[in-house]
Amino acid sequence: MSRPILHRQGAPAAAESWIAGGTNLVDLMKLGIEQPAGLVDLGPRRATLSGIADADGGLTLGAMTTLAETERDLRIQRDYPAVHLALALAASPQIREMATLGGNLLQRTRCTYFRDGHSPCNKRAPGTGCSAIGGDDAALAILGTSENCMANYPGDLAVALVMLGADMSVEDRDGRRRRIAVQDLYRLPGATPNHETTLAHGDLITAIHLPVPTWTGQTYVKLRDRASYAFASASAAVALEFDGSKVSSARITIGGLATVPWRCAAAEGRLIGRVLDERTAMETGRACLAEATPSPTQDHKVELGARAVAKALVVASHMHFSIKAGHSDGP
Amino acid sequence: MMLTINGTDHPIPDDIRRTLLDFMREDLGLVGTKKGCDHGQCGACTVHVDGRRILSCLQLAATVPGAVTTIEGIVTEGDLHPMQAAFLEHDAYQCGYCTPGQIMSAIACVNEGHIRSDREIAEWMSGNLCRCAAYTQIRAAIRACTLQTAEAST
Amino acid sequence: MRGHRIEGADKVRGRALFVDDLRDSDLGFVPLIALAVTTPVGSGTVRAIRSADALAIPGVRAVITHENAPRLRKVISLSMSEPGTRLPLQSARIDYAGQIVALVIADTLQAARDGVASVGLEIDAGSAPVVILADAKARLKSVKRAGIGPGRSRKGDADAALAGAAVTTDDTFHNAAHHQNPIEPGAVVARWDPDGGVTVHAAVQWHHVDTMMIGQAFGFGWSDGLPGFLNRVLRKNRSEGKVRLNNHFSGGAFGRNISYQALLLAPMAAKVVGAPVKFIHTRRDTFSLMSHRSEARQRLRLGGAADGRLAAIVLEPDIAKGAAAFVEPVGEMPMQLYAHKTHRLTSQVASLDLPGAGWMRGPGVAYAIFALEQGMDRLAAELRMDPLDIRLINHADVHPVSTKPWEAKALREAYDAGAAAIGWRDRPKGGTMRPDGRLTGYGMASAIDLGRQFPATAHVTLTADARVDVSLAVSEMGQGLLTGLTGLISEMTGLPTDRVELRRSATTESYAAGSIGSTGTYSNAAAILDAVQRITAGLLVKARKDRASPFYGRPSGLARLMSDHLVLGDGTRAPLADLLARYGAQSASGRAGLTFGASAKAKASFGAVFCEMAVDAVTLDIEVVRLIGAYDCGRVLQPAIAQAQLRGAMIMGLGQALMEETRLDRRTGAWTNAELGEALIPTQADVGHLEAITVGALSGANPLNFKGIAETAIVGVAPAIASAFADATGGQIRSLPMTHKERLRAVRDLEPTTLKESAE
Ligand SMILES: Cc1cc2nc3c(=O)[nH]c(=O)nc-3n(C[C@H](O)[C@H](O)[C@H](O)COP(=O)(O)OP(=O)(O)OC[C@H]3O[C@@H](n4cnc5c(N)ncnc54)[C@H](O)[C@@H]3O)c2cc1C
Ligand code: SF4
Ligand code: FES
Ligand code: FES
Repeated sequence: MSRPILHRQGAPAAAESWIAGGTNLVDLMKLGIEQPAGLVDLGPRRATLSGIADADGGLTLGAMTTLAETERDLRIQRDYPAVHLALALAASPQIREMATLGGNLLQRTRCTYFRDGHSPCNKRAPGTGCSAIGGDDAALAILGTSENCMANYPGDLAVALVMLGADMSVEDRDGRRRRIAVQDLYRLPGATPNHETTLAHGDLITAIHLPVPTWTGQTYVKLRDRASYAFASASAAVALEFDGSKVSSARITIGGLATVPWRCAAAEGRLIGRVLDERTAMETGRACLAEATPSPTQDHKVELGARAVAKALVVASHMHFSIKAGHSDGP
Repeated sequence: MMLTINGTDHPIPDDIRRTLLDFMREDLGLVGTKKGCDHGQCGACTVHVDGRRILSCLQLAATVPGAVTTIEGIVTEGDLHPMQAAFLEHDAYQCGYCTPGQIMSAIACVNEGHIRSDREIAEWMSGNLCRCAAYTQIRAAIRACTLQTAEAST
Repeated sequence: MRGHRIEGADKVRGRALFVDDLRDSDLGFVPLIALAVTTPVGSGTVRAIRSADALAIPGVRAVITHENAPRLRKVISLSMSEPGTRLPLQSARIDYAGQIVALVIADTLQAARDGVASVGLEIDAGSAPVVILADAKARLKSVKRAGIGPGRSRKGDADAALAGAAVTTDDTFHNAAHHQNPIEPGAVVARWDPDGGVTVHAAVQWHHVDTMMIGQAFGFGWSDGLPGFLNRVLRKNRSEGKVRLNNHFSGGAFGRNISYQALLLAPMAAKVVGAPVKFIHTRRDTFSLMSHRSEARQRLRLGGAADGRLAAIVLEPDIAKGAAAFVEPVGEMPMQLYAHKTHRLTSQVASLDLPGAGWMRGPGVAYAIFALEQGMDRLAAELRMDPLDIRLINHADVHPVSTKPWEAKALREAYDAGAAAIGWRDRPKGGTMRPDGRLTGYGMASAIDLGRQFPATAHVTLTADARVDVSLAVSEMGQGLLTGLTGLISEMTGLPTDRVELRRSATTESYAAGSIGSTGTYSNAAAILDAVQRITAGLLVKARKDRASPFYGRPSGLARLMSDHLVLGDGTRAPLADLLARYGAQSASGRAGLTFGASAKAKASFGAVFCEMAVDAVTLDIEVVRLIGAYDCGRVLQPAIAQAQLRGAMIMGLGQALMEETRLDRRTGAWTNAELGEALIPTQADVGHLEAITVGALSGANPLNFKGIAETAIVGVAPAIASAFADATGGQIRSLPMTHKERLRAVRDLEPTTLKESAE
């Protein structure tokens, strides 16, 4: 058991890791799942890497901004209710004070076999097999799975960000910057479930960019088995625009049920030009789950996901029409 | 590098894997802060860093971003913090194991202003599990403490 | 300020010490740290344990395995805990996943952790473990007894009555295994003393039984820990007093706090390294080194007459059992709740490859009454009766089986109080839309729990300066026993609480009843009262012979202690302080015997639970808007503490209804979601309006008039919540917890879906 060393500047060398709030990394280090040889503390760079700024009608969020700070921001609350709710419904107040936006996007699955530290698991120990398949898969994915891994992406924020089409700034270890869509951050498990993102070792997420908020109905619905302090069993982020009574633009993503934040482009298309009543909402929800491949023990999850989407569509549509009608209760 | 806990400076531990919780409990003998899960899943280890509530079991001692206050540091010897008094008065505990964490969280909850309704208090106190389930009494204590503070400041 | 509890100020200051908090200054020594290595698979044998890497870590002192562990002797476990069946680290055999296979002992917690991570396990896998009832058909065996409850019982010919009943129901209900999950994970400190005895620091629920277990395992007189009289009776030998178990605060318990294994592991480790050791459970350890409430499935058939009277109850439970003797006593209570013509109880138990199951709040009864009450609702629905009315019609005026009168029963008052508080008779129709668009549902259920008394012996001394000193090794785990007993002693002796000294250290004269099954308070109180009565009787004898005393020459009679005075029935009185000053300190031992409700009168506590629920028709999200319980729990000692117990139990019932479930991997036999973040228990946000009402105070013949509190209050909650869901949606719950999965199943059986209904 070698003790890792701590750096307060620079970039992580091979086998080293960034540490931001530490709420996922420290947890995984204790479980023996992450064993970095060294940690590069992002704390000293908080001043430059955190904060929320207006940017061309949208917002730029520093990657070291905590979930709590972001949640408190009035612009987030007003213009990005899906983001606000995704944050407000995540984890616990204490964790949100510690956790950073960048770390949140990169949090790892809660698959219990991954976390137990010893079961065969292709994500943790490539090539050992997947214990979840044929095992306790109650909390795992039904979308985007492969025969090698069915772990779900557990986070909330990314589901809202992918729905909004947000992108982010990344700096590689030599200081070169690039922008990538949040959606493109995540990789399907395929044959290599251990490769979860498209980042290279040492890449640093510096900021997240929220686009100009054009949607008039926008929300995030999170379903879970207790009222708070729990990951999503299923979630849905939705943004709608209307032309009169008809939907003119729709964006839908699903969380909790998929290996990556799951964009439902086909189902979105079917909504355009239609009046959104509850029946349509439910139909759309079911369409979003069309590609689901539940195991026999997961059969209820298709319906659960469909209902999460339906609820989000109904809420977002109410929001649009009540704003139009002059009362803005918000979500 | 020094780490300030309840106003006292301590050199940070050599083993950087040491969490703030273990550092306080194992190295400093500050055992008021409890360990319920050691994985961020119960809230028993809640302390304040620069007035904000955090979980000391997921915080490395070496990277604490500010000054730490624990249940041992919220009052000077002898007295009770108004929140402690409210917990006593409203019997907002049973076994007492989650209690230091609940009190630290409750103080922060009030400072954050998340106390406009019972429902709001409940949501913002949901990061502190209490298996004895003194939940309604905890809500009553926070409400009472808030009223008291409000009266005192007017 | 002290609040409502003696230890309150320490608790809010973070100064109440739990075992893992004890430091050098509290213990007088610095213990080494021991952590467990557990097996990931649930069957087979340990071929080898490679400990060289662990031992190479600086600070690691020893790795103990079945090969080098001290041999333990067989123990008899009165609490039916696992060591009575299997002892830790005694063989290479693997009985369940998560079983301890090695102990790592080190100077520091971090070194011990590193040591655990470095131990290599080589296991020869055995045949696939069987861990859930669905896989255990071949292991089900019909039983005469299920734990402390009956496995079989009959009244009349229930099958014939069922066949001839006007209406019948037939459902199979299921309860998932779950864990007590107190927030304190627990630790045990042990040190071997120069005289060959062992000092143990732990938090235990039944001091003497646990002491005895340690004594037996380590080869002391097997009844070490039992008080002199019991010891002499049982074994005609004197207690050696070599096991010194110091009982500390417990961070919750609910049927288990410390694992029984840990009570043995810490002394074993200390023996091997020749130094004091603290064994610490990680949270994950608590799932397999400690007990759980096991899985059960119950087929229930009810037959009713046209007026709703129960003609037949046929209950057929299948109960999972783990590596301990304990079996969830599902059959104990259901036939005691309602008047009925006939019944048949036929239980089967399956021995599974799991850690020992054990006590959890409302053992057996919480499951059984869930099934029975769901059945009663079905019957009511068949007959178009109100759920409350069918319960009133079937009210058991006498014990339904023994026909003994009840010692005290205020269930009707409980129904009335609960119904009034929630507005039952004026409730909206189930499925009515609330202003926020959600559906409303109301549900109710009855609760019952057995009145038991466990043996206790209390040694009480009234000192010459008029203080009362009671030695009783009771445990304080949040139930308020210290405060409750202190108040009672004050009341029994007429002395103010600041003159009451309650010592929790074990002695050979006293034997405290365990804090189990809500029986701790009144079992111990009964023993104390007996001792106090012996003392007052003795004082009276002396005073009647004493010319200088006002009692001189008075006829004998029952004397009582009232506000500092000894008072005779005819009003003669003298200050207690004077009497004690004259006659000196007075001591006596008092006893309470064992009863399982088996006295001339039947004894049970009762309750009625009412629930108002809001259900989102689209997502099936539930909010328990109001949960109101009215409980007939006899005399209420300290109202604030009773409230806390009732509310805590109600919320645990809410957890059982909505979320509590520890899942298993059918291939390895391991608990999968073995973390607090995944094996969910209620948070603050799950609790809406909650009300606990007490009824039926101060009636009946028991001098103490107590009934259990903490167990009864969990019993009716899950069925009331399930009923409210059925009322709101029409979907009938058959399986707990009723997570989204079960709710979706419940409404899927309905055509058309509720979603469509609500959309139109
Ligand atoms: C009990 C519990 C419940 C939770 N519930 C929820 C929930 O309901 N919803 C939810 O969304 N989340 C939940 N979380 C997850 C939590 O939100 C994440 O752990 C947290 O957001 C991670 O942020 P961090 O700053 O602490 O990351 P860290 O733990 O510091 O880092 C996580 C990973 O990201 C890397 N990293 C961090 N910052 C950067 C950066 N800027 N650039 C590149 N790499 C970086 C680190 O190297 C590490 O690999 C929960 C966590 C816990 C413990
Ligand atoms: S689902 Fe993925 S993370 Fe879980 S066990 Fe399988 S490979 Fe590992
Ligand atoms: S001990 Fe830190 S959250 Fe449980
Ligand atoms: S008081 Fe016991 S866990 Fe909260």
